[in-house]
Amino acid sequence: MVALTSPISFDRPEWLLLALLAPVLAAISRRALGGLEPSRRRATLALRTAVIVVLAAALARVECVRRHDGVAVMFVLDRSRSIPDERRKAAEDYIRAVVRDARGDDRVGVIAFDTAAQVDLMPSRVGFEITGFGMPEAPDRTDIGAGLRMAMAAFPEGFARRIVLLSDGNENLGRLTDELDAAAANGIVVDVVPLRYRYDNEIVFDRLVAPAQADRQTRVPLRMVLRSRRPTRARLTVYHNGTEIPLADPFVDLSGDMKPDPVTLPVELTEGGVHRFDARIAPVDQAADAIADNNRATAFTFVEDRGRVLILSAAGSTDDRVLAEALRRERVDVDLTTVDRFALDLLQLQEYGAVILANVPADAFTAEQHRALASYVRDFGGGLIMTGGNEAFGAGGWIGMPIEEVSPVRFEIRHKKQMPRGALAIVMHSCEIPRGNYWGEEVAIASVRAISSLDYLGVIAYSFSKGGANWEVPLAPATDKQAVIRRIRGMEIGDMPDFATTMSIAVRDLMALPDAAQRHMIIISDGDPAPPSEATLDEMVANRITCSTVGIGYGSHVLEEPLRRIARRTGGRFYPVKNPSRLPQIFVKEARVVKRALISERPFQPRMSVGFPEITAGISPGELPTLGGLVLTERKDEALVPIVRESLDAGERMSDPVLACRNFEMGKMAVFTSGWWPRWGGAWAGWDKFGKLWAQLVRWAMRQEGSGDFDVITRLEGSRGHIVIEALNKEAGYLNFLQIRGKLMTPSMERLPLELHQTGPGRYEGSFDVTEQGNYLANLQYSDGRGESGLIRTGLSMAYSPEFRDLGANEPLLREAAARTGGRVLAMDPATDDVFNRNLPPSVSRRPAWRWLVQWVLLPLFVLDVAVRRLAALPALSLYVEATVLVIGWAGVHAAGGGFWGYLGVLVLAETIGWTVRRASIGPTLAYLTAGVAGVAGAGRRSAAALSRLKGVRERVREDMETQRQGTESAPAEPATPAPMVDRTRRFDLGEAPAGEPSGDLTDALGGARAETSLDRGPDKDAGPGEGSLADRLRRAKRRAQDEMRDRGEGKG
Amino acid sequence: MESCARRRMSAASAAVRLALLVVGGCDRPEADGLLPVLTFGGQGLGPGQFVYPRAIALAPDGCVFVVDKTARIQRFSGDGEFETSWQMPEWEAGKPTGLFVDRRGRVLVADTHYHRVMIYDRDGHELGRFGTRGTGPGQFELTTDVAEDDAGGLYVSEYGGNDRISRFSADGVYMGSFGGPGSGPAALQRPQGLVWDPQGWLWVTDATHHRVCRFSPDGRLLGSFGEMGAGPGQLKYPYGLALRPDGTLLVSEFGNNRVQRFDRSGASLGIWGGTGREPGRFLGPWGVAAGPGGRVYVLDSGNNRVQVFEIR
Repeated sequence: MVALTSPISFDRPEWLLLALLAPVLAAISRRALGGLEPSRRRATLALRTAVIVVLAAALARVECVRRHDGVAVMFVLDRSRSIPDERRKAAEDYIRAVVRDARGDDRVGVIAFDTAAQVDLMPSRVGFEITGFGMPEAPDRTDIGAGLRMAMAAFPEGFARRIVLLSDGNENLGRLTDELDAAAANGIVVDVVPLRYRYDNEIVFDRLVAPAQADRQTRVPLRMVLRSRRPTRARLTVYHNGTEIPLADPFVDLSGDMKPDPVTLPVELTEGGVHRFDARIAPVDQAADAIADNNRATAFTFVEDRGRVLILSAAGSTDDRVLAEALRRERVDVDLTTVDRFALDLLQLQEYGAVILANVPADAFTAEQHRALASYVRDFGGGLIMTGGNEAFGAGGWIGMPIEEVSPVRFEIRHKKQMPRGALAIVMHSCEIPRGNYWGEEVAIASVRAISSLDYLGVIAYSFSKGGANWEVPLAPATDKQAVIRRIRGMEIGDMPDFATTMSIAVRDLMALPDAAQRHMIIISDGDPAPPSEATLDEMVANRITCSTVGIGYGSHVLEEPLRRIARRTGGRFYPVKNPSRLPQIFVKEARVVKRALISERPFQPRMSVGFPEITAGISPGELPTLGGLVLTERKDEALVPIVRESLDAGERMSDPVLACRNFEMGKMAVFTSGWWPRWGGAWAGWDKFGKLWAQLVRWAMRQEGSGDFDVITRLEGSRGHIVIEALNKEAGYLNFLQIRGKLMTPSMERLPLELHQTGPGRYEGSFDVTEQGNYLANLQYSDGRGESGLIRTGLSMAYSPEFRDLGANEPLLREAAARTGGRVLAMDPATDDVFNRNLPPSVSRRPAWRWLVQWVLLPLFVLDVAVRRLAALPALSLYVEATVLVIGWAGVHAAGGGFWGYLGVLVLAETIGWTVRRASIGPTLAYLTAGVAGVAGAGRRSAAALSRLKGVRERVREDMETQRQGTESAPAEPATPAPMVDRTRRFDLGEAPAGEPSGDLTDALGGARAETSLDRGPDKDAGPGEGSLADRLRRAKRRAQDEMRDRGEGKG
Repeated sequence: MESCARRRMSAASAAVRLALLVVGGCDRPEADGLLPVLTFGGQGLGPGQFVYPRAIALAPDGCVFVVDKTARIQRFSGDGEFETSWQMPEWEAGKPTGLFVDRRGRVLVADTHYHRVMIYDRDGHELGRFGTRGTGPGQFELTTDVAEDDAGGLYVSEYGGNDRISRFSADGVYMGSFGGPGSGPAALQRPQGLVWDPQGWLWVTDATHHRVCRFSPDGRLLGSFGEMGAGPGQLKYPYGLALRPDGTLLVSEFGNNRVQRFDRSGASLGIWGGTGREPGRFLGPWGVAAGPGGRVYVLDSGNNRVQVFEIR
């Protein structure tokens, strides 16, 4: 990019070299234009030069560079939890006052940030009262960099740019310093307003350290570190797996000045599994503490255990007792519970070597829990067995869930030929609640992900630019889900006046799908469109179209009754939603309605297809009992499928997986697509080898426990977590040169790579960022390169938001931000801060001008170039000149934003040039017109004379003919002389005689181009060959051509 | 020769036309019918800007009031100059969709999602409020508009299940209601706009029945016109309603993106607008107001602007 000091610059300046061709082309053109009068030749050469120069400028991507005087200020406001409420309010008042008191044409916007950034106020003209700021959305973390990024993106064009950052400078996500270079490079100044605070009375539970791993029946120390701003006495409470540990003296005297006060407590670990510790401190004097959130710490210890199995059933189900009892008979430790009684998280899952999900629908889990299940298998080596029943697999909404990737089967069917489809129509209404349309998009996307790609899906909304109710996503198979999601992202969701029109369209189009087995509609709305008529609902009932409704509203303001009525009448469900973040889960549940087609309820004899001794040992192929149904799935290539159902699909033999298994990264997963509940598997529950088969399956899937020879220490320092491993062999010798690496799962189930490096004999260390509240779990694999390897499970816990660790503003960071961008540290005083001052890098905007140049300069010049060479008549040429000047001039005035006087000036200029050009032809024109008038006046006289001459000619011809006739009668006949043949090739034959004189000088009269020699003068005897006027040369050339053609004609004859 | 001359002239005229295009702007196709004499607004949160405005009202002194989806009421001069603004007290549940200025210059706001009517002076000072949520006499579901009769009595329209017009005396006493959901000829579905006719009638846009109704003050249906469609005399979601001094009615059609003019008998006298963003075109026009001097203010909601037309 070359930026000139002038108002233009060029993006690809190398193309300007093209302009150097102008003199060369001018020289070439000079010879070709030799026939033109000198003035025209000069004009043409000038125009051609201009055309080449303009073309070069266009190819060089010329840009208009403008400098602007206005200032745009983006306030970037920290509203994370670390900012005390009164400081945040003071910051808002400050912004409000600055915006209200500012005058002029400057712009102001507000970006607020915590975990993420959002726009509170788009850049607007200053001088108004900001009526409200947004609410914190996820205040447990602070990403100042995200705020700066969004502010930089939101600046309007054409203004000098300033960011005013109001923050305490305590960040625990992203890095502000990463954004400062971008700001400085773009000429954006960052002024900072430190939001200062200090807690004089504060107690902090700094850390609780428990050994990461321990043996059973050992005593381990719990080390606690407490801090207090001032000396005080506090009460300590410690819980072990939820049970309070009785302490001899629960009171601790804290020394103050934030000095660490360590406390150690020995704890006996008798059981295997995960031991959770939760410690709390409470000051005796409540006034000694300002923030209660940071008075707590948690930790956990893994104790190696015999593998236990968890059977997780659907809420309220008792069907799985039969399996639990059968496994216990096979001496497998089993815990049986239901999903609603089990707080599933990744740490809790570590208690178990294998988990059986028994006919549990996907919507029983949150998105984090789904990721935890997948991570349990993939990263932590757990065994997962999913079993059927009508609520599992695709029929249970598991399509697209993380566990599908781990599974040996796909949950959706792509290759079945005779497969009934579901059809889902989503009716979206623009909701009044904040971000209503955003949530609308999210739920539609959740539905797309949960639905089978063979099913039909469409989204209908009201759009005033598209003529009312309209399929924003056409009702079609969701084959390309990403394409559907892109369409959803671009939806226009308008105010829907009534449900009836929209629903009628949806009903009509749902009924037009011949192969849809289930037709379902979901309406998301706050209920305020006019309700549908009874006739519409009757039609839905008659056509067995079910409809569920989701009422999104604020408080009690959603109009529930119309929505309830629609659901009630059509057999759907009504969901009142106060918290929109629940919406995607609801839609996963609703999407299940259209997936009943995945259930096959037809008794069959399962067949053992391949031997898999670990699982099927002792079971002969013929003794498998019949099953009453299964959920259709599709095996993956890498799966082992020991048991199948054989069936015919459009005459083709198919094998549907009944039992399938697979290793996936660190763990294993198996699926049993049928069930043992009476309806499908009554015969299995009573089968004598039921327990044997399941015990073998569970033992195959069970996680292999890791090595216990390593000492693992984890600790939290500030916002960094550290893992230290002391690796010893059985002889207590150091194990050196191990490779230790694995995965770290964050509390939000983000999966991060983690590697430990050797720092001493047998000592390995690694660290990671701790920015979230919750448990960080790592599963590390070690190997010595000689085949010795094992697994180490460890982790640490962050009991409270990192926002509560910092007890004061981080001013150095804020000052750095100001210093690196040329900004100031402001006093937060609207009267003196002068945030709209002009002491900023000038705003320069560049607009591509090459298209404009081609349209409004190059083309007119090109047309004029042709006109100068081709148009003989000066008046006509002068019109072209005028038009060209007008087009270019007015386009220039228009682009520059010129007013009336600019346009007028161009008009005057164009007229002046035009009249200058045609001035030379005014006299001859008048003469010609005069001659014309005189000619018209004498026309009668000339007509009579001409008539008289014609009569005389006729008389003479008659006399000649009479004379010839008499001569013919007296003389003998002679052969008639043949008339000369007309030469058809002489189309431009002028005859040998010179053309007759025109009655007046028409060329002069019209102001046409004058040849240097006139047509009738013949060649100039003094001129050499090749010289003379253009007309002469043309005439000579034409004659030569005619002669040659005649010669060729004679030659042929 | 003659054809050559014609070619020259046509080339010249093309050049002149090209030049005229530059001046006139080549990206502005002409709208059907009328072009606005004035446009104000624009998207934004600043003074004089809108975020999806949904109601407009004219004061007797010619001021224009507009409420948008930020729950902000702005006052403009008749020429679109911003004068002042104020915020509704609550807006999380939803924003107002109706505005009316009575003879005394009070601004009555149909605070739709709070099921009430708020009363302000012209500077935004609250003078009162009335209405509670419910289906009983004098209660409201979603209020949409307010009108005042010659005696100072108020009419309040609502939908959301009630779909009726409630009548109050000048001193605020509930006098009865009419309309209501159902299938009878007088049943209403989403009455969105009201206007009082000095002839002693109340005109109502019955939006999702796609018609305009005429009621007597005591709630008798005296007549209606319009049916769903896009032809002259047909309507699609008529939302806004205004009565001109010459006795003609202006109806803004949310669904057809146009404004249609009727005489009192329901005969269509003219249509203008059409879908689009160009001057003279509309996107989802929620409201229309008739001003002095033949001026018509159309609330072009989807384009975040007010377009002012002059009709003689």
